[in-house]
Amino acid sequence: MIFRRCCIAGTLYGNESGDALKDIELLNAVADNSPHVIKFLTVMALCNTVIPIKSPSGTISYKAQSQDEDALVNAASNLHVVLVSKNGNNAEIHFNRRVIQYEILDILEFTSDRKRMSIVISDSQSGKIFLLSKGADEAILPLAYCGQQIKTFVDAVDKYAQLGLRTLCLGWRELSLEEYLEWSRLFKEANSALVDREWKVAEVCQKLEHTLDILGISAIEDRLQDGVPETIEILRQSGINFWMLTGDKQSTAIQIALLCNLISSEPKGQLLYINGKTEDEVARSLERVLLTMRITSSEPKELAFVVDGWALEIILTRYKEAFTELAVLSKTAICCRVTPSQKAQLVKLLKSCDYRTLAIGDGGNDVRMIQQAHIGVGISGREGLQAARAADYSIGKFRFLKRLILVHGRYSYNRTAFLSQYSFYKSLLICFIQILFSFVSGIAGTSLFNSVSLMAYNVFYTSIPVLTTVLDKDLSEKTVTQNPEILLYCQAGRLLNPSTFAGWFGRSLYHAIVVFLITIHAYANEKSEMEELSMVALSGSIWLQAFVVTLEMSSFTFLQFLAIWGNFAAFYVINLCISTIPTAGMYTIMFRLCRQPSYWITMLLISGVGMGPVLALKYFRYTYSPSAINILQKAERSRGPMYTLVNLESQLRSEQGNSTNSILTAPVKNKNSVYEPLLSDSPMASRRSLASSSFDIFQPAQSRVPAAYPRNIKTS
Amino acid sequence: HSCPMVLRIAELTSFGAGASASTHQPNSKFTQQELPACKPILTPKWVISVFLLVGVIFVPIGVASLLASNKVVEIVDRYDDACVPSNVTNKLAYIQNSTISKTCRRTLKVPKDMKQPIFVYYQLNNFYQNHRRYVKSRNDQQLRDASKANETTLCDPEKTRDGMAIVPCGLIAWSTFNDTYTFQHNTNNLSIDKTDISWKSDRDHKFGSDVFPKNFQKGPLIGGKTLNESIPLSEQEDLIVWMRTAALPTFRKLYGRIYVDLKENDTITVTLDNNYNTYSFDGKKSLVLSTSTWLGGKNDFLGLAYLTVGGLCFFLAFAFTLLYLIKPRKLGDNNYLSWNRNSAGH
Repeated sequence: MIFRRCCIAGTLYGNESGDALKDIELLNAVADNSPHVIKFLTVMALCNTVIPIKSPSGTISYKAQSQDEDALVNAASNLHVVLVSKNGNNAEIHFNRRVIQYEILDILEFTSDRKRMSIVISDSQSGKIFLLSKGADEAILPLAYCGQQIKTFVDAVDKYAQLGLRTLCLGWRELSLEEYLEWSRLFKEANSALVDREWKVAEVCQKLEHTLDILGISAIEDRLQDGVPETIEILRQSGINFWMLTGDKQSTAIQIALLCNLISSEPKGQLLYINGKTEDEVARSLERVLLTMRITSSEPKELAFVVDGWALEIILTRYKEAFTELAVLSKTAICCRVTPSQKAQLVKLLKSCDYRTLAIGDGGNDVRMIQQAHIGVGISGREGLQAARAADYSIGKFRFLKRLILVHGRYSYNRTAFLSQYSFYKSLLICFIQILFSFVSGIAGTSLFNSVSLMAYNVFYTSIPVLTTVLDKDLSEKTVTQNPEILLYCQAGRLLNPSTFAGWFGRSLYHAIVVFLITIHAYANEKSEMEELSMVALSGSIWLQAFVVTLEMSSFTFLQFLAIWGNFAAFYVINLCISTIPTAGMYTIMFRLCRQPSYWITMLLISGVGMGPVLALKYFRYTYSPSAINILQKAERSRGPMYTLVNLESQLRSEQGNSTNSILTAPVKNKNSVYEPLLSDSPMASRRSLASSSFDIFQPAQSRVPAAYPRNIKTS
Repeated sequence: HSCPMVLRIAELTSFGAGASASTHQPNSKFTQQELPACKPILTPKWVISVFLLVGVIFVPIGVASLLASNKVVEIVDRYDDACVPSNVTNKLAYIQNSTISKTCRRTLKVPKDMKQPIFVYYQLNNFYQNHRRYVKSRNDQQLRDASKANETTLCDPEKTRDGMAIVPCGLIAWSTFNDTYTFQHNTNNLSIDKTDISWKSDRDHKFGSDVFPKNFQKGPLIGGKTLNESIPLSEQEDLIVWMRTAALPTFRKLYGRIYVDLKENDTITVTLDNNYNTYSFDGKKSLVLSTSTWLGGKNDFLGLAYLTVGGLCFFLAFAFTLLYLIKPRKLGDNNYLSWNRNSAGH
């Protein structure tokens, strides 16, 4: 963050160059000891919780909890008001080779409710006591003493906010000793209160923070991190909706939203404002926005609504239902001037609309929201690690979110889907065999498998191959990032839903029948010894496991190969070992079986009958009704680099822009064979139109994932 | 790599927590999940050749199995009904009356030349040796170890007789099959070898050579065979065979072997003692004489199954090839992607 502009005593600095630190007028004012400017800079340097650290070489660096304070102190030091040291309660400031000592008496800490912080200092030389305050404009400007002209400040705040700058209002007041002592007693009392301390402290603070002399406005530029607009664009394509929850002013927030591609300017996009001071106003405003949203939702226009903290408070308590409807309708929203608890409330509200929510933020004020969301992502930045510590995932830059969601999130979904369903499959397989066996054991409940096999089945025989699914990649990372739309598959739950589960269920039933029937027919009559037959059935299941995992994996590293077939070999090693123990029930069994040609023939038959239909069905689907994943797999592996797809898409867009579609209708004639229900099913299917923006097309209504993210995607 | 890996970010984030070197992760190909991988896809060529290959492997195995099964000569003679005199109406009372002689004569005709060794089995149908309570009713320690003769846990309801432990205890031993067969081949006695019919491992390790039967079959209900108390369990081969419980309600157990070649149309006369009670549960008893091959006894299942599967594989390979020729699909055509298709349409 960089200090860019300021307004001191009605004079705006930094207008021309965009950098107040280089503004000659300001530099001259400092050199001339202009009292307003000096006061302003003193507040900048002192009213904070920054700790200066002096390195052995003499340079001073600052450690700050908030980046704003860091920017202010640095700016002050560039303007020759240098905070040199802070030892306990003593602060030392160097100004034009003069050393000024201050004693810090009290710190009135910043809270998101108060939206300001103050500090009480006494000048060590004169013994005068001052109150220095800084905070949001609406928290400071009303505290101005009677008769101060604050219009210039209000204008300056508006002007700076329009530029997307973060504004802070600085003020001060001299205190009489009696007033301070009286107040100090109350403050200590409040601080040592056991109940409602926060509220009591705020109450007492308010008693001191009044009739301030407003010194000026500082404006800090909060630069966007690299790659934010691109990240948002790509994640939008993958069907994710964005909400921006920020503590900034409305106009600042809108500027930043425009900068990072969150909203588009007219005529492509439209912003709907929900504001108002009273309940009625807010209600009417909300009603109007909702109506507009309903009407225009069929138009290809990017709608977004803006709401501020005050209106939001009213809405969340009184008009929750209408707002919920609005939340479902709109893909983008900007909530400004919201408190940490409101952020969390908003996330909760979105969660209640069946959205999957991801909250990303970097500041301590995002912690509650991060914890509330389904997925919390913290950006570990200069604002400290609070958010990163509270989050499920911690990343270093906002743009890594793309990779986190598209690559890691997607792989993780695929792998979890496979792992969970496969676990059901393998456990059901063994259960079904037992159930089938009960029909030939007089429904007596005899276990076909001995206890060792049953115990080892889940732990040793079938767990390791499937664990290597952590290395499985259905598509390369490059393909995924080039085709973010593929994430829609995950959002629609294409890989884990009742029908895929039914598939696995059916497969386990089929395999159980295959294993059981082949076993009892191949090992009939004189061969039907219990231990042998049970081991034949068990090895049949293990063979099928190995083939099923092999068939379901999309990529094989040597580790997977090793795990699947090493585990397969381990099954035989383990059982041969157990077969050498004379007291074991299955003593010599495995040796006997391995010597019988009929055993191996039976295994081969079980594998053939079990896997044949599975392979045939998979191939048939893969070739004649492929999913988007299959198509991309084929494209990726048959052509190598996927440049063609990118070209195709960009070509598509330019064609749309010219509203000619002659070239691109050609390949689409053959529509009958490929049925892709993902998009056709969705209610948005009817919305698709040629002139629509690219986002619209990829938006299945019910699978949207909104990401609530705060403004803290920027850093200096 | 255009995007930095998220795993690497873990290093960056560690700065606040003190610059501990312990959080440093080596960027191996494994931790970055960048191991070289082969990514097979189901191309028509590949799938069709797999099915062809399976067909090519399965059909010969099927033929070989079927030939082996056909080479086996098997004589199955069900005798439980035939060996009860026709004037007996209550079969159960008849079989339970120990005073009546139950000797029975059966004549078998050899359908084809039978090469030695000829295996003699008895076959029981509808006998649930795999029933949960039956299968548990034995004590392996007692069978193995003379010092554990009083160990009769799990042996209910054949645990003790007059307070003394039964050896061998349990339902399985109690119900040992006790029909006996003697064979005559064209008026000559046909000797039947009853040694080595059980598993050697059972004789050596599961049944003790110093464990002798005690208090066995002394109760009011006789379940089956009585054992000679002077012969150790490890030499009671009929018992050992019986105690290898069968997993299916229809099973055969080895009775003995005949080391004589039999000619086609020879007649064999079997004199049997029909002692074993299968009448109370509608069981069937059969005597089976069978030769053996590399695949075991007569069993057409494997051969037929292999031929069917092999045939189906050829059919699928053919069908897929045909489909591929009629309706070829270009590999990796992005126009099939829904978003491309939809945006281009309309």
